[in-house]
Amino acid sequence: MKKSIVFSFIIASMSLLITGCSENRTATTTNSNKAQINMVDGVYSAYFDDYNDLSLNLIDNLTEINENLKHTEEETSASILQFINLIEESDLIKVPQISGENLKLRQKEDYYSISVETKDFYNRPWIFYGFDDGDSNSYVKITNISSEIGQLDSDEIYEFMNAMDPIPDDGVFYPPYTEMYEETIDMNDKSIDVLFAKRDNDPRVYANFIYDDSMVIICCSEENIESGFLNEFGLGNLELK
Amino acid sequence: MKISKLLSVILGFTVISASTPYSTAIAVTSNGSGLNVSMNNTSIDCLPNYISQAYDMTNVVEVSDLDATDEYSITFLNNDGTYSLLQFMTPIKYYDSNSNSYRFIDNEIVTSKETGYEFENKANSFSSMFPCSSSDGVVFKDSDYSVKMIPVSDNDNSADKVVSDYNSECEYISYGNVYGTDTDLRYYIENNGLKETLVLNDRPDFSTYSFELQLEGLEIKEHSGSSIILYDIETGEETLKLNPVFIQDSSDYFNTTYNNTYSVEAIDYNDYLVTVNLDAEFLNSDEIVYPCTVDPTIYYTRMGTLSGSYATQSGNTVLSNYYQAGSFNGVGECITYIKVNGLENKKWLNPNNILECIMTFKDCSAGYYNSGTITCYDSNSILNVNNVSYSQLVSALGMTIDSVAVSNVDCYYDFDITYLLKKWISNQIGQGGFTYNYGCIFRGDSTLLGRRAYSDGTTYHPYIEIKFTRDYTIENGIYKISSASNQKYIQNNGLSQNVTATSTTISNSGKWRITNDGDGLYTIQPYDDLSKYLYVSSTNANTNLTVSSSAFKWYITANNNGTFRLMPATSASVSTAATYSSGNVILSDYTNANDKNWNINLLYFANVDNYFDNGYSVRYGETNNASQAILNGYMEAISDRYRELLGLDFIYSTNYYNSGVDQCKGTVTSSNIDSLCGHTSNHTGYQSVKSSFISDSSASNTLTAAYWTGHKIDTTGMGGVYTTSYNRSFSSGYRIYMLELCNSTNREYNSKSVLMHELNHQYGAPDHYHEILADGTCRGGAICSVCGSNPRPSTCIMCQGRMDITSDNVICDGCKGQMITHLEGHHIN
Repeated sequence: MKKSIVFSFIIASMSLLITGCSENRTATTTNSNKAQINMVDGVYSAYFDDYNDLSLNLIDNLTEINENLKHTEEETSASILQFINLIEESDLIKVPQISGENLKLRQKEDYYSISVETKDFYNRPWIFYGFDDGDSNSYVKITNISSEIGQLDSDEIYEFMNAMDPIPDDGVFYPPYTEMYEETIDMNDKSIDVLFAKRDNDPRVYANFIYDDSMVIICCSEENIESGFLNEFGLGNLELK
Repeated sequence: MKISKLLSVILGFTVISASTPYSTAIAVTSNGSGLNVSMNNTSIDCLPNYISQAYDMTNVVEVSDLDATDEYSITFLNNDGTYSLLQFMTPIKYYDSNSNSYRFIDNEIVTSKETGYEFENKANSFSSMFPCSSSDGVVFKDSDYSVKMIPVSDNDNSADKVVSDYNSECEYISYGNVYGTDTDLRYYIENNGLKETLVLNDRPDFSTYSFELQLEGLEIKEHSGSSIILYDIETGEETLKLNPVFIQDSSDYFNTTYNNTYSVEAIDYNDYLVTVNLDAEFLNSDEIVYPCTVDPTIYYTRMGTLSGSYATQSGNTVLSNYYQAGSFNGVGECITYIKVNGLENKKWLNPNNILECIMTFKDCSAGYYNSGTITCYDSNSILNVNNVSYSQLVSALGMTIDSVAVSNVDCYYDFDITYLLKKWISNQIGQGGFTYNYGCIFRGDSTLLGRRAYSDGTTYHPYIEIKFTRDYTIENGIYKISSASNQKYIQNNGLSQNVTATSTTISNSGKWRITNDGDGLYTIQPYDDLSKYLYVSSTNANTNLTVSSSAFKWYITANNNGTFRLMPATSASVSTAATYSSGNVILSDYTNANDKNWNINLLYFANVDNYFDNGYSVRYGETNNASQAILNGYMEAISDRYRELLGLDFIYSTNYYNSGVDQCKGTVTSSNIDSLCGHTSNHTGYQSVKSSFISDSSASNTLTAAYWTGHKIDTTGMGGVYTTSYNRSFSSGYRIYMLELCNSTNREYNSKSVLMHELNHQYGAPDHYHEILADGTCRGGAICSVCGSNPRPSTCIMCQGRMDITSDNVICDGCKGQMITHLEGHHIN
């Protein structure tokens, strides 16, 4: 009940912001000047400078995005709304950690450290966390799959990805990976099955796994994986502000 | 040699400079920084009184730095966007080598810092120093020479600083009774030098006055005459001039005589006795009312932009800081002849942009209160200002330029000489007109009693005001610049290297970014190295154009034949322009010759035809005409940015289009605008919209057809996306589909953004935002700003979609590179 009241209040606040805004852009920010909503060719995303920015603005920005497309893109709207609800239920955002500390984000001019992309695998929002990894464009992306795991009654990554493939009978694995193999990795205090893969014309490695109720894809250099990056990896909880 | 009781010394020193008076100031930079000198204290509040009081500052917004280094002029930016350049007869600024900057001249008399002197002038390029005792001699000096003037007299009197009776802002130094009782020497500090005046308070016993002239760096060659020249010892150039002297009495009618001469005797090396022989008959006449003023006695001046004289009916030519018209007792009618010199240094002006030119004088005709008219005439003959006769002026009277009624005294009168100035400038740039050497003539009507306009040199300075607009023909953008003589392109060859023009084929090093600095001047930067600027180390002829890190500025002025002249904008006085010379580009004196004119063209061209339907106008509640105007506004904004970022010349049109959706709905209203078509052909589906527009519009690889609608369009499945979507704008083939729906708040911002995004596609830029397509690949691929292995910046409009299109990074380097590659293919201008 309490959650509903809070959510309604946010919606109302957003409406005021949109209608009362004197700037001629739809991308409005809420609690911070940093976070930014972007829309290009009908595709919405939200950018954040750091973890604090994310905890302050994630819900507001996703809510605003949902308001903008709920009448035109029902599937996307529904997945965003589900994403919001899952976070609000816990008041926590899953964030990547190394040895118990939040992953150090990249600080690169003209590139955002954290973004939420609404048109990604399985037509659901994913949160991207960019990090420094030599010359590679490396990131960890995370999405909540707790409901799907419940339906599948399995946390096998390969099984999950097959089940989520939007076109399961086309003979193409989704996402379009090559050189796939599975390996069990001691990850922090857990033993996790990781599906490693590569993509054409891309030197990076993709490590796909399910961690608690989240699906995680790490895209980074092969050297980084070989140096034991995954052994120190874990997910932490960032409280909503 | 007994020369006691010798009297009045009447001298006029005039610098006769063979070279431009401006080059010295520019060349004297102390730190090797070439032309990079600055102007101090250029705010309106810091202007000297003689400018702010003489000129109506009501409409002035700020002081322009256009002519910061020009000693004779100042330019104001007016609140209507025009400029007013005031060109003075005397310098108003001087170069201060200590600060490597230009400062306004300040003629205040202050306590001297020099040992042995009581007073001196406050701020100028020269020093005038006054000893406590007149027998120690007054010194006038600048960096190259000095003159010491010692009255030959038994009397020795002390200096007093006096405030003028007639002008509280005018101070002078007075030595009383120097040549005996009732003979006072007065020294006035003027912008252009030092003026000595001898006042005879009563009838003198004698009519010759002498002084010793001690020179350093100068010598005298002639030994008698109405004027004496002082020559530079090293260069032999005429440097100073003792002008003809006149005496004037205190009657209401200014009884005047010019029958006075000099005689000079060498005493020692560079030491001379100068005697002035005054008109004894005049001095002893019963009609003369004392005191009489021998004026000017010692007058030092540099040649200004205005030069003039007046000729008397009685046969004299008078060079002074007075201009006279009408009848004067003793000399008859006076006619003034004035030339506006230095216009060879105003070749950057476009005659078509000159709005007005006014010559302003202050009437100081004490004693004359009758009304009359003074007329300004064009001169039919080129006459010598220094030696013009009354009859010559009468014969040379040409077309009437302006007539001004004069009545009150001590007020300003303006003559409109716009016609003449345009002709004079046109002649300078080889576009017709006639030379400024003809000058103009000022004559009173037959009943006019003598009127005198003057400069006292200290508090009032005659000037011309040239009101003009800047030449904004070239807008910010990327251009190629080729010689009008052979079409060869100016090419950057690296830092400090001479630029060349050797090829008619354009390369990257032949592309230049031209930027208006907001003050009508331009920087020209090599596009292959935007940290550098087109540069010259000097404005002298034969100087090579190079490339420097210094943000050097240029005049870019349109010629009548569509070409341009490029002139270094270090000063408002410049005569040289970029010139093609055997594969090099150098400065030379501008004439309207092909090798001095340049074609300046944007690099590429592209056409866009916009089509909007009733759905668009109805969506935004406006008429078709309003939609057309608004869309043209968006196109103009995009055009500005493409010109600046890519050198793309954007040609566009916007027209109503009876679209397939309009036809489907019949009458389009706000009630059916969101309705989807129920026909089999699904007119509101994006594929139907697309095929309909393709058949209705023309397009090619240089012509984009853009469809704007406000109808709800189903875009589900478009572009490899399997989820439902509506009104996603897109680019396909040679057409773009502007389907995005906006509200009144975000319409302009979003429309411009989306338009640029889609047009960028037309010119080769790919998307690099993140969107997973039906096959699991990302739309951005390897360059996706989020997931790509070689990501492009998120700040690019090909990632952000909606952003401020005026931001510096609206198109990232990667996308820009691809667009240029595309434009090079088939959009070459």
